[in-house]
Amino acid sequence: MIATARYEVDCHSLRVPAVGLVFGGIALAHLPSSVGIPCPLRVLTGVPCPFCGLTTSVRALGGGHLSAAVRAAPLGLVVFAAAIVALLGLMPERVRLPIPLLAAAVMAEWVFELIRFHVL
Amino acid sequence: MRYCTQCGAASEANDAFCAQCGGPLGTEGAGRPAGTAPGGSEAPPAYGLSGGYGGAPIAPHAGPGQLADWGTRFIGFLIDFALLFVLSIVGVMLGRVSVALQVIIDLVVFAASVYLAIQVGQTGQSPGMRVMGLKCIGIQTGQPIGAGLGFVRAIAHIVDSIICYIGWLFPLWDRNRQTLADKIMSTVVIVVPKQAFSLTPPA
Repeated sequence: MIATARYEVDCHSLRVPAVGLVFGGIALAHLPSSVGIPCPLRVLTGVPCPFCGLTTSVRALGGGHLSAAVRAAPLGLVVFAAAIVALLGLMPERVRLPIPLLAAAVMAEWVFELIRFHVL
Repeated sequence: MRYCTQCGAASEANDAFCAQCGGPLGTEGAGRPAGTAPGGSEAPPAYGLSGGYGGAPIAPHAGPGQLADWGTRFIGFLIDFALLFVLSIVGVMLGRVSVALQVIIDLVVFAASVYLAIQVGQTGQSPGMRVMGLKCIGIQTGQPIGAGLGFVRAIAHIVDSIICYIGWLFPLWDRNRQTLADKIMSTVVIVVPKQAFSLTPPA
């Protein structure tokens, strides 16, 4: 069922969540690094999921540490950039993303995280 | 068997909306579902519901009675979450004084979570959903799903979380704007008029 999920992403009223992400990143940069969102997969199995490191990455960007953000999760840059676009109200209502591109991005990010957590 | 007033497609007798186009089905005794405009002269707004998981594009945005978008739902969730989060923080702070106090607060947080889930089941709305003008209803009935199923729906959110929270993002691309818990429970969240903040459902 996930394979047939729409690649048309509904970006309507993402502005407030985007503000939350950007300012959440800035706030996290000033909090102890233990504050984050636990990954169920990593907690249960020790294996990171493709999205592990995103909180760390967004926190680094919130603190202005670009290289630290890339080291934690390159996808974080994309997410943060998308949030700023949405925050400025420049995001179109519908964004159509090709599924192969999405899949490749997620898989690349996953391999990155697997290496970062020394699973590969 | 009932027939769509928009496209004429046949649907199950107990469905409230057309599986083809999401249009309203001819009323056969069954009342108009909550959240749709009462007694409109034109075709009443439908949720833009579609069956299954893929195919048709995401439903268009519109006013009351339509499927709620992810951003609005997320803000509603954050309001509820903030309530419980503040309670938890109080618990952690009291935990430094006495472990027993923290356990009591933890139980209060758990009970509050269950209470919110039951509210969603009974009235279709939690405090955050009332503020944001959201209502959770069963696809087939158009009505809130009841306290028991509301509790089960909250449990079903585990499925949304266990896959690294991706299930919570499903309304971003799902054409019925459902989380996985919504799919499991056959519920959708629609737009209704906003209300003032209240912890308990208004009488």
